[in-house]
Amino acid sequence: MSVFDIYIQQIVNGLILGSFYALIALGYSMVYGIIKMLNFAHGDIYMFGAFGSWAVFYFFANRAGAEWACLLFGVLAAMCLCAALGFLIQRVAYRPLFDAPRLSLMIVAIGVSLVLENAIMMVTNGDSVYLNLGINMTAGFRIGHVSVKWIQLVLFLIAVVVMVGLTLLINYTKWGQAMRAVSEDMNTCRLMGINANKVIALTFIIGSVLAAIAGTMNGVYYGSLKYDMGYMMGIKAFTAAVIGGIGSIPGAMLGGILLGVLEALGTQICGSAWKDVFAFGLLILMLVFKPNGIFGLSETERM
Amino acid sequence: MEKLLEVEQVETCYGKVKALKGISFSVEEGQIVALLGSNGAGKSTSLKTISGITPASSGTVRFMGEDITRLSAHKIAARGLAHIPEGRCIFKNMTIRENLLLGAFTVSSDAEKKRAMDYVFDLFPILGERRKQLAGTLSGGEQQMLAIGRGLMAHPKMVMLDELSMGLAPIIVQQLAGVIRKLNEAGLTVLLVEQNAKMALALADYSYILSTGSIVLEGKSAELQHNSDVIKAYLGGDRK
Repeated sequence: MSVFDIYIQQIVNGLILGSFYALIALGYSMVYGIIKMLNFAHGDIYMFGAFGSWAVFYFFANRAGAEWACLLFGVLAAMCLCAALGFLIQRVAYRPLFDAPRLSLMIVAIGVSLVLENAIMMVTNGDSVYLNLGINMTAGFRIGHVSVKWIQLVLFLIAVVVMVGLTLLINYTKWGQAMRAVSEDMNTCRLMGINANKVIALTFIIGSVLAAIAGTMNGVYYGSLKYDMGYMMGIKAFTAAVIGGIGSIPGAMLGGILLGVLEALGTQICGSAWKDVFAFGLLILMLVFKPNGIFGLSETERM
Repeated sequence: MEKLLEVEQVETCYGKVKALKGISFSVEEGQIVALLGSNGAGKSTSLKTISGITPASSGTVRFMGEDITRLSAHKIAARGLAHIPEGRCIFKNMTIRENLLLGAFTVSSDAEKKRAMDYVFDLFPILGERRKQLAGTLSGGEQQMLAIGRGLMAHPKMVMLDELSMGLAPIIVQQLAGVIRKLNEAGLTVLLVEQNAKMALALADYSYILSTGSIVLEGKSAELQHNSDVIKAYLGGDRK
């Protein structure tokens, strides 16, 4: 295996990690685009999604024996759970503060994050839980010296399909257009008869559903879950959103994939201890040299 | 004539600052009414209060006999009262077509939307030619046309236009004034807010003059036009 092959292999691995980041970054970016708020509880919604699907696997796995059906049930259950959770959080914790300074909202988000983490910590006694679906994790194929596992391919394709679906939803449906419009100018949208609160709720629901999908995928891929898994993932996804240009949907996708790949390559070069240094170093460079991100919009006014 | 819009003793505050100090006025069906005044007189606030963006702290607003003072902005819009805001506020990162479709958000039938869009393209052919272009690429006058077109998409009974003439060349203002007159002749009731008194008085049937949050003068536009001293006093000396 040549050095070149090793890097290609790391890019393949990085794409998987990057697709998790991208799915979570989308939720950050969409919420920021709509109400200019950093939802620090978003990583914990992802964690809830992972535990939600785990609970379903656990319940069904011993009875049904059909792993792929289990997976489907699990991810659907996690999506419903997170949709409800996302809606509830914005309704109960955030909406009363929409007119307050953004700092108050951010502090509430940190509070919500702590509540969610501690709830799962209580249930699991702070231990990791393990997940074995019985899917063959090592089976795959080789292209030259580079090995690709089936599970990697499946998860990556799911992420791509979800992101294409989201893009279509945002660009071509009435409510998707309303979401884009609200992120440009909320009050004008209200003058068009658009219920802005409904659009905000919808944004939280969609972001949470994406986080649930990422959570399930992560659980399946790594096989272990812990109550604090959303913390670092959330910060990484936030980094990805900033790299891509926060508020931008293609930016979150590209930023996530890019971060995943660069992290994998960085790990290869400097060792895994330097993984996070790579991610946050990139964030700092981005903030210094291109603070609006790759797809960030610089607002221009024309009179 | 039936009163379409009635504003009674409305007060609106921004924090502790009272921007409207109990104003009352009304708009009859089929009329063009103008609210005139200099910067900071409370013209835009009046419109924002009527459309529910900055709700009144006291007083009542009635539209078609219904009390809409406490309704949310999106519900007021759905009742057929369109507010075309100051500075156009078009969605610059969306296409002209998408902007217009958002104007018809409350319309559920696709055929209705298509008909409304054809009507707008008929009114402003330039928008039809550029329907797939991003709205941010339009000139100021075209953006104002788009804002008007978007406001018409849901078949409103009445439109409120905030500073139609702001930042536009006189020839464009004239053209837009012609469109407003045409729309009015087709049955649309119009409430204009303007600093450009000359244009507004020429267009409106009836006018009110606002100064620091109160209505200080009202009358038929034709009569106010000749009362140049008063207009000078309230609207600044450079306008006749």
